Amino acid sequence: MKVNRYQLFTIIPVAALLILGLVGCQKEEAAQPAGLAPKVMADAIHAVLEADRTVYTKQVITRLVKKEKVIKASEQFEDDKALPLPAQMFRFGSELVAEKDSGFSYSLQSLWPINKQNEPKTDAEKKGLQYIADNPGQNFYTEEELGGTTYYTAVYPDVAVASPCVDCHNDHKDTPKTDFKIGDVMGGVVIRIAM
Amino acid sequence: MLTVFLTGFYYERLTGNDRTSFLPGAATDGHYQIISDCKLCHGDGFEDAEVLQKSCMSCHGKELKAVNDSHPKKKFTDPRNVDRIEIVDARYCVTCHVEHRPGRTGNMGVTMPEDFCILCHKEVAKKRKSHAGMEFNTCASAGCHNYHDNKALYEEYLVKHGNESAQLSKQVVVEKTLNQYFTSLDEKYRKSLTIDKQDSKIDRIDPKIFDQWQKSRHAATGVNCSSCHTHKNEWKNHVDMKACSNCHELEVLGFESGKHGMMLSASNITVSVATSRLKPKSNKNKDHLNCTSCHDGHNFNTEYAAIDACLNCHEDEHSKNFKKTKHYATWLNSKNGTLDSNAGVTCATCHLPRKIVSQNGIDRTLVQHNQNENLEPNEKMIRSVCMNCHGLKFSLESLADNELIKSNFNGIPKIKNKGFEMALERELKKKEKEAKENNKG
Repeated sequence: MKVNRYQLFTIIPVAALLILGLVGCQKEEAAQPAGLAPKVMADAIHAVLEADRTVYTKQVITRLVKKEKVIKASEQFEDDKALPLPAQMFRFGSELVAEKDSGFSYSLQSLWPINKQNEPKTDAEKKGLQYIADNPGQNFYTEEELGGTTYYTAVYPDVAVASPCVDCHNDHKDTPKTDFKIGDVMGGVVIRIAM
Repeated sequence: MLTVFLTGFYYERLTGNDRTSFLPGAATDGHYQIISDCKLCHGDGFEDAEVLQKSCMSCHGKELKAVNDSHPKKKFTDPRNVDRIEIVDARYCVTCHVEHRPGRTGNMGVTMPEDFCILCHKEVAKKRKSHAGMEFNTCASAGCHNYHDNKALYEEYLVKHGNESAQLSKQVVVEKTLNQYFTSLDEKYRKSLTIDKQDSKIDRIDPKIFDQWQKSRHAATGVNCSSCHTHKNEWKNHVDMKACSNCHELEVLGFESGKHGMMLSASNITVSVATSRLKPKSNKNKDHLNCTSCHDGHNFNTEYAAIDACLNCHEDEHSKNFKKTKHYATWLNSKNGTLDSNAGVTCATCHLPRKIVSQNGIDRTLVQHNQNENLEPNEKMIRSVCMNCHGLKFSLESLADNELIKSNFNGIPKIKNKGFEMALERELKKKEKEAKENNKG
C-alpha cells in the first residue's frame, strides 16, 4: 500500500496522539497500584500483631508467671531458663519478617523506652508517637521518605493490657517513667509499607 | 624465553586450582588457609556484594546466630536505620573486614579504625553518665563490649556473677561421655575385643601395634582393625580421615572448620611446616595435619593429644610457659588422683573445650575440635571454659591482661574491669530505691 504525502500528514499526528494517550493511561495506572490500599494493609497487619501480643501477655505471661507462678519471665530468658518478655516476642517476630524481605516492617517504640534504641527517630515516628499519646484510642498515618524510598507509615497505640506490662516497665533500671497504669499508652507499634 | 616462561606460568595459574598468584594482597590469618580457590568466597565473579556476603555467612553465620549477634544484618535493613548504613554499611561483613589489606588489618581481621563504635554511639555518655570522658577506642579494647558477641558481657550478667570469687568452690569441666554415647547407640559397641579377635589383613605387623590397639578405647568398644582399614570392601593400610568421620563425624567437622583442618577441607592441602604461618622450628609431628597427627595411629592417647601434641608445634611464649603454671599442676594432680579426673587443665581444656551436644537424639559431650569457636575475641572463652572454675570478674580481667596471657595465666590479673563497678553500683542504687519505696508503702 502506497501512502501519499497528505495521508502521511494525517497519520503522524493521529499516531502521536494515540501514543501520548497510552503513555498517559499508563501513568494514571501507575499512580493507583493494584491491591490493598496501604492503610487497609497496615490496619490488618496491626490487628494480627495486637491480637498475638495480647494473647501471649494474658494467656502465657499473666497466667503462668503471675497466677500459677510456675515460671518466670525474664529479659535474659535463655540464661534464666524463663519465658521471653512480650516485647521480646514482638521484636523476634519483626526480625524474622525483616529477614524475609516482605515489603513491610514493624517495630515497637516508645517516648519512654527502656532500650534507647527504641525511642522515635524519624520525624514521622516522633509525630506519630506524640499523637497517639495525646489522643488515646486514635492511630496516626502518614508518608515519609527514608533512603530514597517512600513509605506509608502507620503508628498504633500500644496499651498496657495486664499488670506484668506496667510492673516490669515501672521497676526496670533503665525506665524513664515509673508511674504506668493498666490502660495507659506505653508506646506505639510502627508499621512501614514500602510504596 | 622469558615470555614463553611467563605465558606458561600464568596459563597454568589461570587454568589450575591454585590462584594465589592473582591475590591483590596477603590474606588475613583467619583466611590465608582457604585462599587458593577464589571461588570459595567470590563465587563466579567479583562484582556482587551479596555473593560475598553469602560466602561469609556460609562459614560464620551459624556462630553469629549462636551468640545472639549484637549487630545482625536485620538491624540495618530496617528503614529507620537507613542513616546508619550511610555511616557504616553494617549489612555487609566486608565493610569492617576487608580482605587482602595486610597494611590496615587489625585483630580479628578488622580493617576499620579502632574508634568505629563512636560513629553510631557518640551520644552514649548523655544516657550513661558513667561513660562520660571515656576514650573513643576503649569500647571494645577494655574487655567491656564486643561488636558481635556480648554473651558474657551484658550488664545483668555482670551483676549476676559480679561478686563471685576468683576460684569457684567446684572446679571441674563436664565429663567426657563418648564411650557411653556409642554403647547406648548400638549393642556392637558393648563388646570389647582382645588380640585373638583382631581381623587385620596383613601378615607381618609390629606387635606393638596390637598392644596399643588392645589398650585403646577402640578395642574396648568393639572397633576392630577392619573398621578403619577397610574402604569399599578393600583393605587399606593408609587410613583416610573419612574413616574417622564414620564414627567421629562432629569431631572431624570441627577439625575441618578450625585452623588445623580448614586448609584441608578447602583445598585438599594439609597444614604443614611449609604452609603454616606459625612456622614451628622443631616440628616433631608428621609434616601434615590430620587426626593421627595428635591422636597417634593406634593408641589414640587423648592425654598426649591434650598437651604434648600441641607443644610439638606451638612454640610461642604462651605455649612454652604452660608447664610452669598452676593449670598444669591441676592436670598432674588430676592424673595422680589428688584432684577429680575432670579438674585437670590442659591446652585442650581451653582451646578444644568440651560441650554438650545432641547427636542421634542422645545428649553427649563433644570435644570441640574447631578451636576458632572460642579463640577471638577471647571473651568467647569465658562461658565455655573459664567459668567452669573461675568467677566472671577474675576471668574477664585475666583475659584482658596481655602479660598474663603470655605467661599462660601464671599469676593474677593486673587489669581492672570498670564495667563491674558500674553494673554493681547501678544495681545497688536500684535496690536502695526499691527499699525506700517499700518503706514508704
